[in-house]
Amino acid sequence: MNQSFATHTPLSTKAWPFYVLMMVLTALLISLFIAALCMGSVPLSLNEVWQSLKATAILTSESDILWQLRLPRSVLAMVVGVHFALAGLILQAVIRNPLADPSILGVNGGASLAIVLCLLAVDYVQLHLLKLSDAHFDFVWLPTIALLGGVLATGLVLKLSWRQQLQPNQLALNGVAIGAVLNALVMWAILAWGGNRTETSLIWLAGSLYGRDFSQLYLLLPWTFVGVVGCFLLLRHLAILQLDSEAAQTLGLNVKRWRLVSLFIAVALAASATAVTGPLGFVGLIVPHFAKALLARFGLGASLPHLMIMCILSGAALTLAADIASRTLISPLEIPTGTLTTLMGIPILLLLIRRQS
Amino acid sequence: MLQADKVSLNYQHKPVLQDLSVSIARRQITAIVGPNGSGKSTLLKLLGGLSKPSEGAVSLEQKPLYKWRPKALAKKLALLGQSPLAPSGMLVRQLVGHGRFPYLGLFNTLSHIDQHAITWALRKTQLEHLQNQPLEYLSGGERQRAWLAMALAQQSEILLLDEPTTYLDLGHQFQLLDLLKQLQIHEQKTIVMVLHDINQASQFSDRIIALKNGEIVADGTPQQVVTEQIIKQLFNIDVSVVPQRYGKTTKPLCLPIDSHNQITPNSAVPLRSAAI
Repeated sequence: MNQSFATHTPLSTKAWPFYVLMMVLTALLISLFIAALCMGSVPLSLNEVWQSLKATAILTSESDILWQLRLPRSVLAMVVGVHFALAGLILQAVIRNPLADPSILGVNGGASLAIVLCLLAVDYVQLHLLKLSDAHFDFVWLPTIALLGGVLATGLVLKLSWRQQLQPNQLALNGVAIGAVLNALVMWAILAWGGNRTETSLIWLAGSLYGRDFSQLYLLLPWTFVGVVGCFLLLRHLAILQLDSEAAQTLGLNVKRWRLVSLFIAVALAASATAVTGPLGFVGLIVPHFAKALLARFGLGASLPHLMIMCILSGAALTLAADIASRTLISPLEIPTGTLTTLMGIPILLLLIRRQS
Repeated sequence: MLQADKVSLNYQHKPVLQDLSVSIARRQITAIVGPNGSGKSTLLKLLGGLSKPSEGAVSLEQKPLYKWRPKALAKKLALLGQSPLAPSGMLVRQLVGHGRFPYLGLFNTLSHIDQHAITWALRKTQLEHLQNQPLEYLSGGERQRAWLAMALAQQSEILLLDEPTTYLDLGHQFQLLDLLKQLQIHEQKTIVMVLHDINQASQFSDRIIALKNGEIVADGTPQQVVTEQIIKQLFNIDVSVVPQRYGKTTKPLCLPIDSHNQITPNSAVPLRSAAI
């Protein structure tokens, strides 16, 4: 490539196209949120929603639906979307591979195995050791257990890659290997000892927001804070980590240390979100690409601060849209949200990439 | 000021550099030459603090490199590798802006001074008109200049360059080397570069270090190093060395002799008579 193509495609450096794009996405997100509150197996009018939101005490069935079901669930969908999207953005920068997503560090596999083993163990103990006829399990503990599993699996991946200075290729290979082993174990456990927990396990593995309430949101919010603030502070280091490690080192970056810090934040975001909703397919993979393609469509360069804001907005919007669809498409039944984030996200992404070239 | 003292480096138990000492002089252009696998890039990486010697020490201003804080070192010394990689979509000005990383704390954004340094680096490398282009749209020569601009934005006294002219056509090679010469003269930069082309090394540098098998074969001015014996020893080829004037200075120029097509009494027998 000795011929310059540069003069044909000047990129805009003005700030306003970005702000317009940001406004449009924010407006889209707000409309989706309002739609999420109105739509469902019991449709509510805008006025009913407004009256219920204003009410301080839960008096009507409408306000009950809103406060107990739709509001926590919709907020949770957005927060989880932000978690996965930012984790994906960080991981793609650190691993320097466009295919990186939270599953590449074994987060999903670890969380899934922990959940499934825990469900099976509780059943076994209650049915066979305590001779209880009706197995009972408090689902409040699941997120914590999933978080532990995810963090442990990632810890193992990091440990295996530690000697190679956490080099991207090494990380990805170890992560994929550990992930594959964990997923195989999950399937084995479900098929061999699933029993009456098979369905619960499968639903959790597909990723769902069914029956989530504010308690899960409270569990998530501290991590949201850590993740978003951490990601924001990390932006400059991430930009340097995107260069190859030699270049990063000559610029005075302690590459291993900042790789570790970035990975920690990505894992905190991904593991906590996975803990609450299960692995929401591909949000972490698609959204950063979606954000990049969107910026490119509007003639903007892929600067990380812009990408981060785009990821936050479009991650929240995609997950929320998928959740609305999962509740309404075959209402009163539900399609797992994880399936829909994939089914909705992939066509949008393919369309954007096609238009680009 | 930048000094390697009896450094050795082993890679998988094989010695790459053996007991090697060099001292880089301030405000000079030093070229490192030698055959493939002689340890040129390894020496450059040692000097830049990218790898640690197995024995001996590299020090800058009498302080071993590993004792320097990474950012403080990056303000003194910039290194441009052979084929650095950037993610897609990165704009030229963003890349050059990364050169200011050593000057920024966790909470700072690019200041007026930083912007000034970035613009200066872009102007020096004649990239101002391309600053808002993504790197992948640039030609090979422009991209190489963009990376050089990033190193320049570091505003370090020392520049280490690993084969900066590879992948460039003759014109761009000359422009780049000329730019480095300008930087040495007008900005008082100290430049160390690995070069493949002996004649470019001779033309543009004040000092040549010749390496073979991880050892220094010759170290001195181009006149001292570019000789028929040393080139033969380095590359195992016969050359004839002639003086060549470049402006006011005269530097040695070496030309390979094709030993197979030399006219010797035996090969001068006419082919036709041999056939009869």
